[in-house]
Amino acid sequence: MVLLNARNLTKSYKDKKAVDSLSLTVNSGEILGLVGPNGAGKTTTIRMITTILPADSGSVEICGYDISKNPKIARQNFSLIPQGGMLNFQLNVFNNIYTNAMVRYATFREARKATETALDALQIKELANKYPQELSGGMRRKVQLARLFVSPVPLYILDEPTTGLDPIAKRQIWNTIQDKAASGSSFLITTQSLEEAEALCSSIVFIKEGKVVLGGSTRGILENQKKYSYKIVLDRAVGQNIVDLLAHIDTKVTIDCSGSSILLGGSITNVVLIKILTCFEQYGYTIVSISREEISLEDVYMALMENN
Amino acid sequence: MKFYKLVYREWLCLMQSWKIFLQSLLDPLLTLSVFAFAFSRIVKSSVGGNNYIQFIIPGILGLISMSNGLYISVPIYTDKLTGELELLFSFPVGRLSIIFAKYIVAIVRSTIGFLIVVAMVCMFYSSYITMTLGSIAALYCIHCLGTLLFSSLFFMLVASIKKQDTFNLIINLIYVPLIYISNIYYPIDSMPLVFRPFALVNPMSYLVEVSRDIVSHLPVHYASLGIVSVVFVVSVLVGWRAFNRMFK
Repeated sequence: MVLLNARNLTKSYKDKKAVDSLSLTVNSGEILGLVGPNGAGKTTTIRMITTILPADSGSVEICGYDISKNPKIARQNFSLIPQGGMLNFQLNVFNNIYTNAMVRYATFREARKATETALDALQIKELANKYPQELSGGMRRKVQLARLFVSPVPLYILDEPTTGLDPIAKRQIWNTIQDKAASGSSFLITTQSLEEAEALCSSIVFIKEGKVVLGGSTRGILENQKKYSYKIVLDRAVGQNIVDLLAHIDTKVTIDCSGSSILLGGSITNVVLIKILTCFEQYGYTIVSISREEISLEDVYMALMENN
Repeated sequence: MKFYKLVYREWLCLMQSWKIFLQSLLDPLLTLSVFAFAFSRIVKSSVGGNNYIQFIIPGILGLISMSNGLYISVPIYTDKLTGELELLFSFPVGRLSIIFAKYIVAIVRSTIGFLIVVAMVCMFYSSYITMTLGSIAALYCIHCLGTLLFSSLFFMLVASIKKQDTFNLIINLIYVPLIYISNIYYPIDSMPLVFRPFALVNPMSYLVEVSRDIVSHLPVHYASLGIVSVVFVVSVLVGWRAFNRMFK
């Protein structure tokens, strides 16, 4: 089920396009990461999706409700942590969460109960009477998450939720999000951290200068962006006759030879790999090493962002 | 439907800190004590045709209106900086409800100040001012209008100004003239000529004038009431437009 469907969103500030025909979807149970550098248009996109900012053109549907036609109903279906979102410093932790719950639940009693449940779930019950200014950055983020999750909505939207946190606090936040996702909730998360995107997101949309430059499942992106899959090093340089022979084993495999190193690209199954290795052995080559080439999201990101 | 919950949310913000709540009680108590008790003895001569206590009470009510307007509007700016406003905008409630909820809490807070002033007047200064139920009711209506007026004026500024240093500068530049270049402490006629034009464009002067008419049991200057109402409506409209463009 599609929870969020944004189509051709465009937003300009004066003569600069902040977001340019951006489309994305979040399906049920998915964690979608919106990844891009500073000024790429991530926060503007989030603000348009969450009805904070009107789009110049394009449409957004949340759980089937068009945000321009039914904004209040659409807003009932998501909960947000804004960028740099702090807490209300006039309220203690309990009331920070409770005031959010109040607008989501029919009665004050239900809201109170949901608040207590959220405090329990994030193991911050002992902070209930403390004020945000008394908490560490990591604890504040936990309270923010409690404030987010107190809303019983299908879609959670987080704008850079772990910026400025230490690695331990980050991982605690990730674990909480993953636990919630495991129970069927969906997320749209913006981040500049590729580590975070790789650890958390089932799908990723890379944006640059307001445009989507790449999108898909995290695993798919990593697979598709690989230039080659295996690197084989032999005891001596490979002749052209061997290269021609290898090319006939599977036409989907690409082969680059450089002296005694062979780079195999494309979709390589185990069967094809064994055939290739056997071929080398038949022609008297000794295999010095064989390694699977891994690609990280950072490699993909750098390639995308540096490519003009 | 969720409006009363927003009001309760604002009320929680007000009540969370007893110091803030105490401030709303102490402001009118201290101001009234200082001006009515101490200054009335210094300014023995009558002012503006009335005794000083009768003169200063409407001014103090004007000050209470203004401080509550400021108190309720300025946090909107902080909320914008902390992301709290974005959170509010993402709630399944209308934006107008967010502002109205703040207005209602401003009026509640202002009402507390009003009641304290009226109680003190009835207890200690009844020989100077005659308060009837009718005049209290009329004074309260003007007091509420004043609170809305200043809430809207500051709301308009808060919503329109983008930079924090500009915001601080403008608030400081406006706050002092609103109080001192008006008829709160002294009649406009007794001001140096150079200040009089400023006092005449200051909505505080008109608000205090109407309250003073009620306290003195004189016919109300409806033109002044009209000016206060027009400034209120204009600032609401301009503020509302700016509020909707705060993230643009």
